[in-house]
Amino acid sequence: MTPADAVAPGRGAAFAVATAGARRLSGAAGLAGAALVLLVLLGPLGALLAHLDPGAVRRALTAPGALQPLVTSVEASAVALGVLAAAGTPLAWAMARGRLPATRAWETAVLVPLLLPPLVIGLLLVFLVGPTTPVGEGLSHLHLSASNTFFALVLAEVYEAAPYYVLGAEASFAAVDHELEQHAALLGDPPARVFRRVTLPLAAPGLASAMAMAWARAIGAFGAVIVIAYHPYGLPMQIWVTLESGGLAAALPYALVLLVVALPLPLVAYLWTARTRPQAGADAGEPPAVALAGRWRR
Amino acid sequence: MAAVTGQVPAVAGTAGASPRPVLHADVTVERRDLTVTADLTVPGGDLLALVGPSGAGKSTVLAAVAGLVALRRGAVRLGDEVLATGAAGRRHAGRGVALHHRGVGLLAQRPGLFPHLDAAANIGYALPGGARHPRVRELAEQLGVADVLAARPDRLSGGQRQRVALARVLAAEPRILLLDEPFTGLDAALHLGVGAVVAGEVRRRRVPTVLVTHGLADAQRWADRVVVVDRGRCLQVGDPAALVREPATARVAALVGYRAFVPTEAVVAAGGAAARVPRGAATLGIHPACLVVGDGAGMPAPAEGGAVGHPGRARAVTAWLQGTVTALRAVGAGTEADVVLPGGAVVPVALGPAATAPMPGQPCAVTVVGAPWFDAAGCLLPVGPPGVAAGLAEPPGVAAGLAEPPGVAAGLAEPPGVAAGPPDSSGLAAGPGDRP
Repeated sequence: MTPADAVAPGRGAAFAVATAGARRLSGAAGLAGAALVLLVLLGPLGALLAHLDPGAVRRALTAPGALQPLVTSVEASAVALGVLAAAGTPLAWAMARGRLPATRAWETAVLVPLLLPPLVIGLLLVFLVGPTTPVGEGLSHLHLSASNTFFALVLAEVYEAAPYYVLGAEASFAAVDHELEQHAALLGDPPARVFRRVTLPLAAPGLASAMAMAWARAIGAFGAVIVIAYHPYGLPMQIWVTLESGGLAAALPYALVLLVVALPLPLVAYLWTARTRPQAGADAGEPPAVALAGRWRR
Repeated sequence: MAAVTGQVPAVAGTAGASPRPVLHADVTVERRDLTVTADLTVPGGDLLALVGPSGAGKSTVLAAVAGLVALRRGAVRLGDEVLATGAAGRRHAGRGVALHHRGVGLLAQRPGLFPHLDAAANIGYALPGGARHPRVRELAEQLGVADVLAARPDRLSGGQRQRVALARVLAAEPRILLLDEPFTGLDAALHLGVGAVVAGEVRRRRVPTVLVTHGLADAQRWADRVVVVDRGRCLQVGDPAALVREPATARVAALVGYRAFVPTEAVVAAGGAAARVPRGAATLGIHPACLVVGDGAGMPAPAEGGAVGHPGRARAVTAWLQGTVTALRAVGAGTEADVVLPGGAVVPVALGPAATAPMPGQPCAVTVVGAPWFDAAGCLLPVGPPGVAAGLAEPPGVAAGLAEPPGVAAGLAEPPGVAAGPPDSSGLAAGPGDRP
């Protein structure tokens, strides 16, 4: 052993202790920061749970007709989601594969409801489909009305949720390797079968997370709803009306119900996406961009 | 891992019954940086290899035949059926028959396995019954992937993915087979086994097949004909062995494994009379497999170098040069020497077991057996009949040697004797031409 070596261990050890300490310190700081963010994000949830009075919840939910807003909300959101899936999925696929002329224009059009304040969407919808407009008159021939009806509620929810679903679905279709679709076609599958056997299974996690986001937006839609679909009450309207008439404490039980209905689907979809991500990306070399944000990389 | 058997079960009745449809692909495709043009004719059961450097447009030709890119001009026909025609102008115009009706089996460079299906389901994708079809296991066993049938693609190694993709293509029983580097990622034993399976399927089902490879050895082993592709153009088509023996141009020679071009002086037989090409205007193409360090070919090398016509081949000569050994290394069981030739090119030469290894830094005599000559424009030169002088005298002192600056001609001297041709060297040039 040379003299230099004899000296080095002590200094090296001191240095190692110093770096380990620094690492521990920075790790602790990171953890604290993360905890703070978590606290801020989940704080309202905690507050809700802290202020709930079980007796009040029981009373509110067992009152006659108390669950009607819940039923209305779930039904309207389910219909809205059905409409989005039926119309939005092909649109998202066509946008992702560049099958539409002026793809940018379509994207912008889909984005508009996201950029407009929900309240403004409600106002504009009144001008578009209100009873005195041509569309409204056309609807009345079909014995439909787009003001203060279940149909109006669905319409408002579709407008609020559409950008989340269509842009999310577009991102998940765009993440499917087009070469795989070409291989399926060369192996003899016509386009519809390629979509069913390759595109859809590969895009499914992304579609599910887009669907979940759309569900959360639809069931919580309030801004447009309060303008064109004050009646029938969905959960958000019920919360608002209760808040106005009975105060905060009376509204809290409905807030809890809304959370319970709105949250599970997004959570399940998120967990599924997280689980399937590494597999889906194995051959493509890149994990599919399931988040809405993936849209903006192009 | 199961061994690759390479054995192809003979299926009675399928081979003889079908006619041999001929694939005609006369395609012009615009790539971002390059216009790729190819005119290929492949009879059913034949294997045509596309050889060329990376980016030459080989894969683009396959994509054009498969229908993945639109043709600018030309057409793809299988027998009488037109699969695609070119249409200048609109991007999607002129695609022709839809992909799922083409019956093209494409093994792309990226295997493109479906990540949500296991290997068996991938192989059986085009089969009725999918993964349970008996053909799935049969092909998997032939290609040595039977023990990974239940695995998803992300659990497979690169070579396994490649073979699963190949099995998927073969299982679909395509009418045209397009293979893009099918042997990458395979070790030597698998390489041969997989090649045998492919060749067997091609012959048995009489499928016209185009194979893209950058390794000439693969092309020579499996292909009936080889097309040399460079910068989007087909430079030469021919029998694999002939292509290496007589590359039409110096560029083709460089692409099929010639490692050095030594400027020299040539006498060219033109109409029976010998015509002399001015010094420096001709180059001798040198393939490592045709080099012998020392006075090979059983002929005494003239001290000053020289060349004689090759007895078996009208367009090649046997030449003697002086080189310098710069390095020796063990390769396999033998030894390889880096030899600097006149002109400065360094060529690795395998030393025979009997050869006395020269010392690094020492000059050595180098015999080139069966070297083609090229004129200033790079075109192959005819050489006189066997035994007729092909190189002419230089003043002895100026002969190729260490003192010569690179670029100056290797000196050539009087041939050692008209009658004394190299005894037997016809097999040398047909050897494996592609050495790393």
